[in-house]
Amino acid sequence: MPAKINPHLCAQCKGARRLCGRAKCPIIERLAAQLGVTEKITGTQLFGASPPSVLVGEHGYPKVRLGPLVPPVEDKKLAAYYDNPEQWYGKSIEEIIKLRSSLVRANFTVGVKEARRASKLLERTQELALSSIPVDTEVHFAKPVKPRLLFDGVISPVGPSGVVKNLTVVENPVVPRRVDALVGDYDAPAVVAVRELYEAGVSQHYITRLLTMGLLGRKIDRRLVPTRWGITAVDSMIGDYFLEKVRDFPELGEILLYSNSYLDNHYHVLLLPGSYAFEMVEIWLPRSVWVKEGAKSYIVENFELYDGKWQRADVDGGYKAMRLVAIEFLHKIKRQAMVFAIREIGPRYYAPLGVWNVREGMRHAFEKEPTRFSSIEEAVAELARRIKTPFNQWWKHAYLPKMFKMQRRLVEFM
Amino acid sequence: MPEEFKIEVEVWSLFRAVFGDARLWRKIIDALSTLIDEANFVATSEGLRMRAMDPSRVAMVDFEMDRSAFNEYLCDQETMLGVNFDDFKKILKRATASDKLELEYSEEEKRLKVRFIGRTTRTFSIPLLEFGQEELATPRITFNASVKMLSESLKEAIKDAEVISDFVRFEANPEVFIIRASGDRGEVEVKIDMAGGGLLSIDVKEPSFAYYSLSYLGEMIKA
Repeated sequence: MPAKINPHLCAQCKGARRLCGRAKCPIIERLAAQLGVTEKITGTQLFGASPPSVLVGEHGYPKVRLGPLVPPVEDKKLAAYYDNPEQWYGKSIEEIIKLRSSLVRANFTVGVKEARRASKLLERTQELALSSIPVDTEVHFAKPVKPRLLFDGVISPVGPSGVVKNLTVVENPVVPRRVDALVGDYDAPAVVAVRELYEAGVSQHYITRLLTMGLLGRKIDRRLVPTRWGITAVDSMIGDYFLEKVRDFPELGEILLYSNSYLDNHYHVLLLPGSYAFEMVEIWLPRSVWVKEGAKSYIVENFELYDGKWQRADVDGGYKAMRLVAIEFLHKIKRQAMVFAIREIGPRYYAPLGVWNVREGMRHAFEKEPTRFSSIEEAVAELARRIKTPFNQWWKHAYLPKMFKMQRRLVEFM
Repeated sequence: MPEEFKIEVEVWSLFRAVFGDARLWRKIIDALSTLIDEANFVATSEGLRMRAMDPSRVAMVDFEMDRSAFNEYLCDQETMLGVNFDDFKKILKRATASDKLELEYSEEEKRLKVRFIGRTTRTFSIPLLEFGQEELATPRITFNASVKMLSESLKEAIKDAEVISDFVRFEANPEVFIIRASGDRGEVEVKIDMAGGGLLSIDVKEPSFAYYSLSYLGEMIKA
């Protein structure tokens, strides 16, 4: 039995991979206990407008637990808000936990391949997931629901859960035409469907839901996708799509630094002239969610060059989310560049809220006025001032800024 | 010959080459495609050549294959064959052990035919890309040292360095060639000299060193 757990193991695992060998993550368990659910649901019946949202678990894959999330409200506008992270930016960590903790998860277990020949229960859930606006839903539980919270690095927190006995969608879901067409298209691979939907202006969050419910892709390939995998898959697919275009844009002509802070997550993005490359350095300060007091900051780093393939073995959802935002921005300004992005996480981010906060936090960095520099040295000096962790602790992990300084190009000799 | 049987012949430029081992070409294209997305092969009466830089213009590939390397070779006019390496690679992956490879281009069709000749004859036909006619100049770099060594020794040294760092330092001394890397994970030093047998020749005008990025070298040694 491992007597002592490597303090950095938790930052690597983020409660999802059970690297310590325990059945349940003690950090997640402690959080769930401390933050308990405020609204108690009694009885075995619930009626609410489900922000058409569904969570697919990953434990036990390919047999997964899945179920719609139902808020205890019937107001459509309010209900939609419960599950749309694209609208949460600016809310405090308490507000978000409170919001999410009131969502009840109505669970049942299915095999992922049943997406193609759904049972009644799954079919109704898919119907609900298809709708672009909340749908009145009635849920009967087998037993009263357990008041407990679920936290994860990628997924937003989710409230109490109970096993479903019966589920009724009381009204007709609203399905946009474009979505209906692609869900009915059994020949288009999922990656094509995702691109087309995104091009048509369908929100990323909605696309992810369709993908996780096994509603996109070639008929034979369709299956339920655990939500945490689906979120990252969509980040990755949309990122790849824009990257193809970004590669043809001219190189940025100046050195720019963007910063933003949200929920004690601090984002610093350095753009350097050059062909496309992306690097993420994630720094968990002591006393942030996964790192104990007194331990050193935990640093995760990964990068990709022009080919868009990450170089290190260890990636998680945060990397793909930051990469997407960076590529999206390059696409907007019609330039390619080397992007060096740092996310530093402080102790006031005491519960993981999901990867949306990374996406939104970094997006807002690009909305602010950048600082311009005439040399990489000045830019790095300013970056060092903005980052709380001592310079030599994070600099040794950095790759792209060093490469920018050191790497000469053949064109200089021609 | 009766008048009505006279055939009018239009002259199109033609390139056709047959190579004995299709799988060797597959390896070549595999290696080139680690650095290059698309490039022009230039077919001349002497043979086939290609020169291209990777998209970030850090590495250059210079490729030449003499006409004598082919079993059959025919080229009546200098021809540019602009190829997307990703597509080309996928096609060449289909080569089997005993296949011969035939490349054919006629100006008339504007397509490159890739034909595998074995138990069956399989012909792929791919559209060519049009780039500017301009060929890349040779970079003007003066070198202070020239080192010849077994490719296996270099490969192993690069792989050793990759364990430790993202960058590598090459040091050329009169007697010995040293490859070093250092980083958070420690240090590594690889000595390549005549006594060990890895070094074939070394010519050092003055002792020199330089740093290189392993993300490029790591790909290049696969070639």
